[in-house]
Amino acid sequence: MSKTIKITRRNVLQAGVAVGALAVPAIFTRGAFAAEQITVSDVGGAPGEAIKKAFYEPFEKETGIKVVGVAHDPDPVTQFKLLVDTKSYIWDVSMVTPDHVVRLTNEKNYLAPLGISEADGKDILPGMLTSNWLGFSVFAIAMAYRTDKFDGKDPQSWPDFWDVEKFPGRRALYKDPWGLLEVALLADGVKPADIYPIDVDRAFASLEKIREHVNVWWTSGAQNTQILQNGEVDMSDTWSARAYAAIAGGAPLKILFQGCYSVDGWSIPEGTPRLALAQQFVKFCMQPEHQAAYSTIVANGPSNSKAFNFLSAERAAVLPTAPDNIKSLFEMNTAWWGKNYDAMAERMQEFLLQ
Amino acid sequence: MADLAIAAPASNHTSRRGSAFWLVVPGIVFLLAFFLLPTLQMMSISFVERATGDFGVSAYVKLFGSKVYSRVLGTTFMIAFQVTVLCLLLGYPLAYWLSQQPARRQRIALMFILLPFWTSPLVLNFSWLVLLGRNGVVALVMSNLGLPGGDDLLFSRTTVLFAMIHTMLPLTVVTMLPVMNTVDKRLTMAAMTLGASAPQAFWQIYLPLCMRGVATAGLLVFISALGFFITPALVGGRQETMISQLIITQIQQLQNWQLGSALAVVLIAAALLTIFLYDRIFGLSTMSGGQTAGSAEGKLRLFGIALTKRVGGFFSRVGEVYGRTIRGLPARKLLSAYCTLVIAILLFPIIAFIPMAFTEGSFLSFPPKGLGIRWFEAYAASPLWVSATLRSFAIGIVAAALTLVIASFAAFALAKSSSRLAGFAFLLFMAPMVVPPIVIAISLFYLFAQLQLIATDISIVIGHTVIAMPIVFVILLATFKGHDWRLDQVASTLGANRFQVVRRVTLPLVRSGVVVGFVTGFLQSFQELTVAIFLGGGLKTTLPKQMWDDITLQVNPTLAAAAVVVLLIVIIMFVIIECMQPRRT
Repeated sequence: MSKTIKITRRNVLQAGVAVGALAVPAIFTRGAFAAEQITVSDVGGAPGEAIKKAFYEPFEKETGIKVVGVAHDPDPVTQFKLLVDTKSYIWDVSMVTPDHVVRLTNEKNYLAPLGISEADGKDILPGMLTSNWLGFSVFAIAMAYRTDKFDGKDPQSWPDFWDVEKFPGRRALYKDPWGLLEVALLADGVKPADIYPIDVDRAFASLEKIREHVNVWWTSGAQNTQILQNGEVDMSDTWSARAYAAIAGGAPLKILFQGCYSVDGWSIPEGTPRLALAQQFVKFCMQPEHQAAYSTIVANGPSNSKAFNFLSAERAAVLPTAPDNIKSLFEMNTAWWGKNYDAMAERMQEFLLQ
Repeated sequence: MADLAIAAPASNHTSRRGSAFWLVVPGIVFLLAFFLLPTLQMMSISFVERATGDFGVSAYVKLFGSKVYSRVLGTTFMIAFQVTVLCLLLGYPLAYWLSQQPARRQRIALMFILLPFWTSPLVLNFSWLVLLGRNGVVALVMSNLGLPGGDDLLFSRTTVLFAMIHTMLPLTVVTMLPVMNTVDKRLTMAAMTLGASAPQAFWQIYLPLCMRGVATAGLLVFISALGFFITPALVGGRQETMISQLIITQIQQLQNWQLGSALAVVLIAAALLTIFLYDRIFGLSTMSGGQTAGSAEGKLRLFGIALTKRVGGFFSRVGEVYGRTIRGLPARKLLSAYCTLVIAILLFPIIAFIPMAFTEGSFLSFPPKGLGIRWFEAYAASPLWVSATLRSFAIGIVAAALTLVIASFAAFALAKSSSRLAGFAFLLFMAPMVVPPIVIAISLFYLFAQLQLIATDISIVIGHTVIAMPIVFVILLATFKGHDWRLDQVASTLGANRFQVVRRVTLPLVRSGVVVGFVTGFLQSFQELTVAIFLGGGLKTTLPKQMWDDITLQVNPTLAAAAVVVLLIVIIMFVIIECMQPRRT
């Protein structure tokens, strides 16, 4: 992109804009934003609703700063990079996972510091707080199945999920390698401790065995909820809170907590003009009572150890962070995914098309 | 809507060329700035190596070298081809039947057929997800009838084809119909007087005469089908991946602009190649309904004519055999029954949405559980839905107005000109129709990103104006071509000045065309998704974008409530169009 091209394009454009301006009333110009307002992008769906009630609304009430929540794609890295590169700060805070953080910092830094001191973060569980990211939503990548379909002989493990003869029924899997490769290795008998670094060939070989038996390749959390809820499939991998949303909606489902866990959290795009407000918001989300409120509405675990003081025992038991649940979950290796995601996404696409 | 340009009466252009030709300039500038140059710029990215920034063709080596990508190319073309052929076969009898109906009934039937076309493929596809699901109503009916396979209707090639045909059939019919309406019925009668059997008269006289309508429909369907992504993404299986989906993945997920734009180049090349072949075989000017360019009388064109004749001859023989064997079966009734069935299927997913919206349950299901207006309340109470609806309205109105102004200036100028430049302008105005929306969207995305205009309403307005331009232009061109300019001349001889002529004579006479153009532009913007996804940047959410988010991220009956609102708006627009139709007898 040479500079000269840019200039000519601009000239052309000015002419175009002049024509366009004829029909555009003043309300369409930017700058109608109130001074004290930030935009936060989250994952939408059931978690999005919960975030709004647990964080946005109380924050607005306490500080008078308005929070506009928008949903972003399951993988927001491109949009994130673009808004920083073009300085179009449509988000001031964004919900990302640690592997997104790796991808947003490995070549060029796209993240602003959170400005949280060590003393402020003393109650946050280890690994949940870095200089540019605050985790607040622990979720599991696990298995969910319909309890009304297996006559009491329920699948007990990922090898069972792969066993189409012993456990006939319609199956769904995530149409993305992220978390799926881990599950494929578990199904192939790899021990959780030996998953990383991922033996990619073995993982895809394992997936190849089940490929023909997968009826639905789901692409978003909400779709996962929907197909489990309406019985389109009998078993699927899931992000725990998404399956739990279907259970809360009355579907006969059970979550088998086998797999891995990761954490969704907040990061701030580098260069946002509303950095101070964004930092204030992230700091607000550390508070245990708000994290507890979030975990009460949606079944994801908090990152503040004191949040459990505000949660009922029954509620805490269905979260991925409950001792009974987390014992069969291993931590997703975010460094590995940060480095390998692009190549895996491409290979996954090839795999699906075969 | 019935009378697109294809039906434009022969123009009676006087040779006052150039007098108002400058009026086409704003449109040319607009399309150069926001369509042609951004598209070329985006295409050029495919030749820039990601790592080094030098010129290179590695993206294309990868595209055609890798089995995966060539497979997706193959799938895309195969699906587009199958959809085109099936749309033509299924749509032809319907269009024929419509052309035989009295004008008023034809218009009403057309409204039913066009309703799904304007209701957005998003709503239709989501409806299919619920209706064709494992526990959906179709599965239920099939199992009650003892038919197997009802529980496995989704996520296959057949589902994709079915849903795509469902989306494209209305376009097929409205493109064919005007040509059929203009075929002089006395010609077939004459053929029969001269001894041709009824099938012979149909297949050898009638069919060749409306062949250009059929061919135009095939062209539009094929090119539109190439650019599909919503349908294969929502109801397709793992192998039904089309090029547009790959483009989205490459750009949105993998940030590989080089490969993404190379895919876009392939898509554009395929569209251009199709048009080139079409022009060679049928002559491009058939699309504009205007003057036939002499250049198309080449060998291929003769081949086209011969092909049409052969096909006609073949079917007339089939028709004879058919007539001999099942003579006595009421063919007309069969045709009516078929058409009623097709229209019913076209309306089915829309009508099914209405009860779904009135459910009391918290998940989408058909038949719905309980009756209530809970989800309409949720819709009205949600700032997201309300602001999306208002934004769609505002953007639709502004985009339609902008399109209308630009297009009517240009159409006004072109209707009275036959210069070489007019031919270029015509092609430029029609070009956005043959470039898949996804390509327009990413080109503008790239342009606006550099101007920091992503996530502004103005960027979406501009994108929608580009997309709506061809159809609005065609409507206005037909209007102005049909206009008798001598009336204007009479007015000026009688002492009216230029402004008075336009205001008191021209405008009242072309009013219906202008209103139809405006409403069409509005509807085009109101249901548009691709541009809204990219240029809205996730912040400026239009109604279709909110529905898309809801389908992918939310999934609840608010979506059905919103779809009912959309349906109401579309119906209101249709009523406006209907009221504007000149009362012909």
